[in-house]
Amino acid sequence: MDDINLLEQIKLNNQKAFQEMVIKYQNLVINTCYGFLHNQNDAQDVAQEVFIEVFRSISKFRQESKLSTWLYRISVNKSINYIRDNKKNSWFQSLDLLFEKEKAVKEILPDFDTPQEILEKDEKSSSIYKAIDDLPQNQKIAFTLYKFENLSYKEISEVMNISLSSVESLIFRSKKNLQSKLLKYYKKN
Amino acid sequence: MVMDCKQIQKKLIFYIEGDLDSVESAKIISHIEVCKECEFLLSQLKSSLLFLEQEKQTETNPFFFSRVMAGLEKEPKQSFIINWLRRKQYSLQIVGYSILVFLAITAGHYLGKDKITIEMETATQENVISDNQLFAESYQFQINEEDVYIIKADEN
Repeated sequence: MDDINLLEQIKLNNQKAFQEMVIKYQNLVINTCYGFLHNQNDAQDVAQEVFIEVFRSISKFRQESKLSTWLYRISVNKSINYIRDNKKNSWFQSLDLLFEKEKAVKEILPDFDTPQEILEKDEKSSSIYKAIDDLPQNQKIAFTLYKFENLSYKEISEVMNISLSSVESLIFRSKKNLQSKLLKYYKKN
Repeated sequence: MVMDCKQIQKKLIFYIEGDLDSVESAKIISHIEVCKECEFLLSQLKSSLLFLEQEKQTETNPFFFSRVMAGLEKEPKQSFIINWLRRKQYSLQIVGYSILVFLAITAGHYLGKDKITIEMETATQENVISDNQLFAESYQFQINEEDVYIIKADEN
């Protein structure tokens, strides 16, 4: 079923159509949320809220943009709100991230990775995620959509509702800032 | 023009992302062939960006839809007012605490004002009495007690 038909069926409360939409766009939403939250469990929780929001607001969607664009917008907003609401717990979140990443790496990596290599990979992930988190909000959004979702500049401009030249500027500055922070980290360590 | 390390390091991420033209790219390649530090930084940056690529989820979670449906069934539809209150909860808390502090300061001010006034009036009365007596004694006046002007506390 194409997106237009899917939307029409979901408006009629067709659960099968809703399930089809969830399966089709699940990875898109979870990956977008993960790009901001850097934690699979949190990303899945927020992704769940995204689809609940979609189901509740389906009648309000005017179809002026693509369904995927609308999903990206809701995912970005929900993720940003989640980060803001949980800022006071960010220290505990970062501990969870460290332990969860360690556990995830141990499950996925083959046996020949030494503990030293596992530790290095954890440090690498922490350093790049921290560098991304430190970016100004619009740069972070543009960079995350560009890097995690491989969206084109045009698609990013539609999601963020800004001009193409603004997207180019945001991506350029985000790369420059990210590079600056990472090089500082590498030289220090 | 030969580029130094500082200039090269500013362009590394753009080189990795393929944003540089062939001339600039060639300069970077020839530099990192002779500079260990820049070569190291390039490899670290490449590896970090590659790490982001690998973090993407590619497998579909078969239980995700069940979670969404469970969330839909669990979450009751809340009224507009409750949703508005939830969204504004932090601002409302700040306003609430400010009002409490203001009320506490105002109450403290009014409660404290009466007590101070009574103490001041009492002190003034005592001063008047003792001043008059001292005055009389200093001039060795024969002064009758009833002539000393006393403001009685219960008289206006």
